[in-house]
Amino acid sequence: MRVVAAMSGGVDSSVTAALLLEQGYEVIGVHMKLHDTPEPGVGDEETKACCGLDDVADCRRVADRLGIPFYVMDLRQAFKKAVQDDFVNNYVKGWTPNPCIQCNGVLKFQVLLQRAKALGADLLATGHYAQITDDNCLQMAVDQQKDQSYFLFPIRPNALGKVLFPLGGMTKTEVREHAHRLGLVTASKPESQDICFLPNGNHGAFVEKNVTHKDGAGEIVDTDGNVVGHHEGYWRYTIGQRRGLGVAMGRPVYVVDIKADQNKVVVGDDEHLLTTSLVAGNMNWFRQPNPDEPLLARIRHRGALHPCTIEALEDEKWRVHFSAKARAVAPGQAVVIYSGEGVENERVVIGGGWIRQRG
Amino acid sequence: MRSECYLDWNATAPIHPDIQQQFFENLSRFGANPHSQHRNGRAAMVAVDEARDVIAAMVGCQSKQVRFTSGATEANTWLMHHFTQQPGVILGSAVEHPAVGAWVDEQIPVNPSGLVDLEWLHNRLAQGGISLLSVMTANNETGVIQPVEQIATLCREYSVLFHTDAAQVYNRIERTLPADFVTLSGHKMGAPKGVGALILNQEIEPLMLGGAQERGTRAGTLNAPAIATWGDVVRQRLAMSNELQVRFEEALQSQTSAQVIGRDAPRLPNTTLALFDVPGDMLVMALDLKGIAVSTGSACSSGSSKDSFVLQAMGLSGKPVRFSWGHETSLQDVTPIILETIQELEQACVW
Repeated sequence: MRVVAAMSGGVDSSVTAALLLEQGYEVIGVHMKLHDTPEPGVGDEETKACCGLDDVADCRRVADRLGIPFYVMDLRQAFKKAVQDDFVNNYVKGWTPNPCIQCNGVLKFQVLLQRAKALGADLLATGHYAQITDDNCLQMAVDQQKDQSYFLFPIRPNALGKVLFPLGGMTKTEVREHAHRLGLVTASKPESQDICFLPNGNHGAFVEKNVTHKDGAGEIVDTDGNVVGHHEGYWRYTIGQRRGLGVAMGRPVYVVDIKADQNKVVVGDDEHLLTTSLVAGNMNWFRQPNPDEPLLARIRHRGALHPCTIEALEDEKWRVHFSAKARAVAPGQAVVIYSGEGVENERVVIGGGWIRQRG
Repeated sequence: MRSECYLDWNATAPIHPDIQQQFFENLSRFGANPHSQHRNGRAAMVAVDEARDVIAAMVGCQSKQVRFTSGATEANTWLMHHFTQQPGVILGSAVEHPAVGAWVDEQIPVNPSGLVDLEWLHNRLAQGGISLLSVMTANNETGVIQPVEQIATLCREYSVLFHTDAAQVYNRIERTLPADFVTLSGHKMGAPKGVGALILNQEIEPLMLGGAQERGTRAGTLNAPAIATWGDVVRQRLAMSNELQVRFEEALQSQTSAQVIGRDAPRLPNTTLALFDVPGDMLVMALDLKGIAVSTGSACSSGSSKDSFVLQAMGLSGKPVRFSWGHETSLQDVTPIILETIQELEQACVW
């Protein structure tokens, strides 16, 4: 059976390809070329982002070692449209986007899946830490420290059967050991952490480069509307942010709201970040939740699992009611709903969507 | 995992087994430094000069005009670097290989067939201020052959020096080149990589400084074994007919969504560049999985798939596929697999 293994150039996807080969699949390695972010030269600061020229070279060497074909697929156009433009639009709305989830949902599990099929592959595999159960449910990874199920909620239910996550049952340590055993050049490579098209992590500059009509300067206000400082662009801020606000109020304050239409950033105390519910849209359900069903919501990667119930609203929107208050709910981020049943480490994702507002 | 059918000759031509055998022998026979006085050195220099003779005869120039370099890019860089130091602008076609294009001050537009706009060129030459005009003989991506004789005549009329990059010409077509400067590549015609030449009608400032090799114009030890092998390739070169190309393109156009680029222009008989209703990079992958080596166009863009500036200059867009072959390629044998693969991808999804 032919399978396309998405290879980023990191250790996880290298081992993914190797494991599939050991399991008897015919493996084709594919690296997605997503953007033209310049490569660091000799002497430049190393970045922790993925998807560069060095990564392509590493993929090629791993593929050669394994004796599998390897290709670079040019998906820049689709990435620009589905991820980078969406990223900018989110910030312009005063939201905090999650481009990695958007990339998974569109680029990997739609575009790449389709292209894998065109190359005669029955399946697509990635190096994500998550599991797909025998009855086709998306489940957390065995390694709780690495679990990436939060990032995978947009996979269409009918695509789950075409997807493999060979690392879902392994720990990161085991993956690295396996890479060393096979002598893969990526065995000791550090984790990629940054957003791949922002190697220096500066999202503000990226937004400003892509939005010409924005004059950034505006006011920072407290929850009563008093001006307490100035900002150079509300899109540079994120709900819950404490550092780098440039306001001195004699106590720690946080960004508690971003009012894009008024060009204002609102700061307040920790208690202003707490909320009992949120509204989400553009949901992807693996199964419909029942009313009053005890569920668990995660509102950030590796964040707490908040006990909650789900209520269907109009216009395909859903309200998540938290049993206890949740902190720093940021519109634009994802909310992923896990089944309330089962043991701690074997939670199943029943769906997820994009946070539209608090309350 | 070597490809069973190699259709990427314009990226580099494979070394024929006979030539490979000769190269092995030349490595020891001509292994000495050609500038050494001893018998081994003399033997190497004689081999270099014999290669120089056959290359000069191929291009239609004198042997002393042939200066060996490490390849076509060095030859182009050497010439272009010289002319950036001269008064006037460097004029080059919009479809030049980047090794020339990188130095061009003003681009000569091409028509949708990929041929340079002679009327535009005529008008521009009349305005003056040009130090060098550079138009490639045949394009590496499209195979389109430029009217170099007409361009040479125009240049003479306006006393402008004319350079043509002929890296893709020989072992595909036979042609003498009426230019003041000609760039040649060894590996594109089946010699080992690492040799090329610049043909000079007048001396220019050296780029590589050091020893007095090549009449004091190009320092550095001559790569005698590779140059001698290039000479062997030149001696055995064959002309090619376009019979295969015609049949191949007929099949592509009748059975797939192929749009053959530069169809109405004179073209190399070994090159077919086509756009399909499928991204070219996907076809390259699907064909590679079946052991057929093709490319998306120029191989020089960082191993990945940059959009083709050649297509853009012709007013076209998309990701094409380039099929380029040689004398020994059995193109007709793999044509059914190629057609089948294209059809499979055309039906796979809406791209």
